[in-house]
Amino acid sequence: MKGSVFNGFESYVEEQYGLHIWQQLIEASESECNGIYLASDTYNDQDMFSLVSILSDKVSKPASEIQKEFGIFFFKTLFSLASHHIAHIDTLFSFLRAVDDVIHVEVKKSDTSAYTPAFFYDQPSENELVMRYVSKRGMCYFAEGLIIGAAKHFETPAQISQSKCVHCGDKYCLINIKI
Amino acid sequence: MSNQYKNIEPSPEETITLLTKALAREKLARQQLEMQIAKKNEVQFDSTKELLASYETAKVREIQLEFLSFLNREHIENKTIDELTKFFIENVLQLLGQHTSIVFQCKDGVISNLLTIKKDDVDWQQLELTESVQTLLNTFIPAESSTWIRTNLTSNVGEVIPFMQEPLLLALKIPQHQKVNKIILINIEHYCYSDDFKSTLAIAANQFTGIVQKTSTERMLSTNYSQLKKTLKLLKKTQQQLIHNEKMVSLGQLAAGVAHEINNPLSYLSSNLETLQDYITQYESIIDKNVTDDANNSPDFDELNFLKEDSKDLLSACLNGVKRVADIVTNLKQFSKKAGSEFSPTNLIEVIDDSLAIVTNKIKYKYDVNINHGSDNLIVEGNFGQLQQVFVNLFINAIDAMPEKGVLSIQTSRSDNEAIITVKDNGIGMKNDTITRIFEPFYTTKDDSKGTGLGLSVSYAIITKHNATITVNSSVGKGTTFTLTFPC
Repeated sequence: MKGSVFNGFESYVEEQYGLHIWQQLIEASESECNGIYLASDTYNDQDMFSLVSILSDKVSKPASEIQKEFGIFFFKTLFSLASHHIAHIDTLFSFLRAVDDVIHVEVKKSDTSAYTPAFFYDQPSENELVMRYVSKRGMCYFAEGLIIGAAKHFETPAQISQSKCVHCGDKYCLINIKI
Repeated sequence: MSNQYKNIEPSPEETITLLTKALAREKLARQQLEMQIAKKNEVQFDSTKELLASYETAKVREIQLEFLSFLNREHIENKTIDELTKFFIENVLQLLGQHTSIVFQCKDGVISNLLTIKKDDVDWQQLELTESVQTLLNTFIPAESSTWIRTNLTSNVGEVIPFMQEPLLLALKIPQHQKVNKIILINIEHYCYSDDFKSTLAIAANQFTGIVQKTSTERMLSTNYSQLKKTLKLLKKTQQQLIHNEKMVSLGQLAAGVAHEINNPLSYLSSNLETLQDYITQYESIIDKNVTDDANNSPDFDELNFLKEDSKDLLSACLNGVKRVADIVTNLKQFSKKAGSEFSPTNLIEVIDDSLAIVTNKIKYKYDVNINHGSDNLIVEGNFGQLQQVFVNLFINAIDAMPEKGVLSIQTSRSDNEAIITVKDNGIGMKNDTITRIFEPFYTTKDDSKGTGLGLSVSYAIITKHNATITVNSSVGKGTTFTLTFPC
């Protein structure tokens, strides 16, 4: 996973829970890099899961909820990073349809062989979009948070739900967005 | 820290504030540095972006081609439409990672050939076509052809068809022929696929529609071809029958004349034979007398000479009469034979002479016949019997066109590669309206007892079969000329 996501998580934790909590997470996680995450570098996925898990225990909040909140928080960072790629986009659905490309560029620009999640789309009607999230990391809640962040950014009230989820034993995650 | 600065040593609170600020500056410095690295990475990435995009596109195309290759000639050749459809669906199911499909045929809302395959099925199964299944399936038939149509399924679908558990349906309508459509339904969990994937599915649908339509057209053409072959065979048989019937009708017309023609020699044969019988009686009487009578009593030599000479004449006349009857019978036998199709070198002059012999009885009392053979060599590749039929027909028409009397003129000639025969009468002639229709089957100007309306149309068919042509010139009140041109 890219260091920029860890940096984002650090900012989220500091803003939501304080610097000391982040430092405690670093101490508790015993990560190999000792909490030094360079945005352009790539780090072990397990580091993130363990940071989320420790935070979940510390603040007594489900990991899924933390991932979702982090997604909402991280949307602004992701959007600003990719703003020059998506300058022409002005609706929620067109942004979500471009997400796959945006993430692709952001991850691949420092390492072309890096693993990227994939989104596949189906639009059954004008106000309904279904996104299939495929990633070995299974961070569908984080993706859900990013979508909520995007809906806020585009000022589009949206109902977001998952009809299938790998954490419930399904083969993939289906995220339904109704506006 | 040196002693001189000890007096400005910060308090612990100040230290924390300073350290916090220092940390923030460090963080900012790191962020700025990382942004610079990110920019450099991006520049580098941009330079390889197009290459990577091309690689990605090539990879996608490769996958598309790999999938679409199942529709190549090798896999679809010699398969029925049903086999092709099953093969197509099985491949699409594999690509979609799905298991359930229904396929059926539909014409004007009537469903048939209902088959299904579902998870763990080894082969396709028949699905019972109940009224509720028929009603439900009819709602899934797309209006548009050759395109996958995605539909959300409602919960009542599972009540009618229990194995349709997934929430979506992909439907494809493939038009075959005569309002018959093949409908493919695939029950899917979702339709979240990349645009490239969906486009591959669309191409496959289009390609498969083309294959089905081509196969369907080929089958129809093949069926039509065998039907045409059967019809042609029947037509040929009917044509042969018509030609024969026409010949028989002509023969019927001639029968009375022929009977008369045969009766003539028969009557003088009979009369001559009776006379000869008398002569033999007389011979016997003379011979008997000479044996029993006085030797001085000499026989009547005048009478004997008369009997001798007249007997010779009578026998010669009898032989002629017999030959005449034999000739007529031979000609009729040849004429009444069913026209075979064998062609051989045929002398048109012989055909004309034999045809004239057949109609001679109709001609000899009222008509003059002018024959002018411009060449002795009018050998063409043809069928004697068929050509005889043509000329007999032309001669009878000429006679019928001259009710009271007239002249039938027959002229033959040849050029380097053509034999030309004209048959001319100086009869009533024809109007233009009639001329344009004379070769039409069943068109006749004669009354029912005389004509079937088939004579000239059959003649035309025979002439065409000989690669020859027939043209007509006619003026009302002046007469008609038929010109036949044969390649030779």
